[in-house]
Amino acid sequence: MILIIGGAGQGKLDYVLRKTGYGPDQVAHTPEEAKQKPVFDGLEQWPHLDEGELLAANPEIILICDEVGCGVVPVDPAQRAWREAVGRLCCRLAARAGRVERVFCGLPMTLKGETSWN
Amino acid sequence: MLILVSGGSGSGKSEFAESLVTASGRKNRIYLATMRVWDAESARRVERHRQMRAGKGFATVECPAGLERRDVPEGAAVLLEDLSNLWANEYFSPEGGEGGFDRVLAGVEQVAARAGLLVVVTNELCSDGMDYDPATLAWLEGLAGLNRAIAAKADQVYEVVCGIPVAWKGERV
Repeated sequence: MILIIGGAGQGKLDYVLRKTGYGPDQVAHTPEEAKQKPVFDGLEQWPHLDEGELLAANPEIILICDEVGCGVVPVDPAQRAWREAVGRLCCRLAARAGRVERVFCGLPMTLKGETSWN
Repeated sequence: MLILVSGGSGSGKSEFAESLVTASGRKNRIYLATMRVWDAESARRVERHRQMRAGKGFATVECPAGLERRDVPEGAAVLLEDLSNLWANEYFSPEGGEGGFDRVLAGVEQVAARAGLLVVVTNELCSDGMDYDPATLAWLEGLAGLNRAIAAKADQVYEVVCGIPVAWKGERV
């Protein structure tokens, strides 16, 4: 599994599609779709994802997630809990990932994984 | 040795900061706790951190403000968690917060000079737009200034991303 993270609008999906040659129709937007498709975009919308189930069904998937924890802690408790849950999910996924990259202004930085991909 | 550890919410920065202290081999470990417990959520956060630290040999010392008046044992390994809480408690204090910036910075310098290792945990809070009320903006600017000042003095600076430490200064661990 590969984890791609970065702020909103940094070019994460573009980067993955360019790198892999996959098209938009090969990108999943729900955990159910993600069992069948090679790329899952918008992971931050699913903070309570059962990653064990997904990775059992699709161990080679490329996961794309917004980094959402780098602002002022929100006043709304639900927003706070969501940010926290997304952050913890990313920590767990990064620990299991063969590769983690962070995209910033369209530029990738490798955080984990030595070998090149695609 | 002064080490600054930053990161967003839920990034795993605390666990990494603790690992720096335990890996230092220093036996006298002090945890300077800055969070004021005032509701069930803050109580849960404190409890989560307590459980994370359990068995790692930390003595917890409450330090919600007044770090510059705090004495630490010489040569101890000290974990300050965290700078944004300490700065908020100083800045939004009922006494008006005058001089808070200098007090926090002086506190960090004094503890760093006396301790064998000081690890300061801070937060990356300035990457999500700056559409806030003037008081929050001024507090944010102060935090960013403290982060810069401490990073300039630090031997090592890390940003933790998804539990992975990214080295910005000093040796990569």
